Amino acid sequence: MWYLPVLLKNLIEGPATESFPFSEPRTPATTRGRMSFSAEDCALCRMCARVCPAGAIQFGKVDGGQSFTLWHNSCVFCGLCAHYCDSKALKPIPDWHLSHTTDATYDMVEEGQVFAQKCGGCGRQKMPVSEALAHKLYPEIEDKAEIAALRTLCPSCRKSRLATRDAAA
Amino acid sequence: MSLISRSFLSRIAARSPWLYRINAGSCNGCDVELATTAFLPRYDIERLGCQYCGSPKHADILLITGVLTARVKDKVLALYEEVPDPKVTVAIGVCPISGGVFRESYAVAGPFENYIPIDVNIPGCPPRPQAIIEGLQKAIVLWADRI
Repeated sequence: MWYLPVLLKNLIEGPATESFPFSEPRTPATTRGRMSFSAEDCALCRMCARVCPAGAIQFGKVDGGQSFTLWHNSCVFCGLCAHYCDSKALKPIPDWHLSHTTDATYDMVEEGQVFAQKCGGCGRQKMPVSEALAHKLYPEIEDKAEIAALRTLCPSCRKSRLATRDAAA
Repeated sequence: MSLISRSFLSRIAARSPWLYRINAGSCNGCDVELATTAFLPRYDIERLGCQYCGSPKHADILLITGVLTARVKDKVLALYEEVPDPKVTVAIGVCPISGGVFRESYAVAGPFENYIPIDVNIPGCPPRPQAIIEGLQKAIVLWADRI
């Protein structure tokens, strides 16, 4: 008699087979699919290229900055780049629709260009600092305006600004 | 035989491609996912008319996993020759495409495209069963065009 509940459940719930590809697939929100890159947040530390076990991440030179290229056909979804990315520019997203015909092999890339910025204090070139990175650098500062001001400065200008603030306090 | 026209045979054969799986030095991750797509009721590849077969001579779509190690290279190429034309080759995982984490190893003869033409790539390490089904769908469309 033990099979009766199973039989009833199967009658009510229908088949266990997912209807994909005839309907939308079910993807959990936490699925680790392909990597996504946001060029605004990148600080060009290049740690991702260093830790990538498959060598899928490459940096190249462009005028006034650097280009970022991640090859989906090499990436092994390990997530090391996202783990080591302090600026939170790289993160895995639940998109796994990567299959393609061979003519698109060299289009399967995640690209971005990161440009050096001018320091708001001394005017020299500096690397961009994302909000996540600024919070990591200065966890004690909660004032959003202060964080925004620090993000526009180069490391030495940040140092002198913070030293002046500490001396005043 | 002449009673059944060739176009009729092509039309019905296009609905039922047979799959043959070659492990060319894979870590077995992709093979587990292939077994998942084939044997778990949840993903069930046979809904698309596909069936795994045990001999390359019966195969229509060739599924390749692994990096193509130097040791299996000749055997894999011989198996590839045994699959009758027209055939569709599907590379499963990043290994057959780029070598993945094994790239530039002394034991790796790949990438595959240096030796045999690949038609569909399904990147992933390993790809999800749904991703394999999605790629196989593209392969079946190619197969229907070729036959």
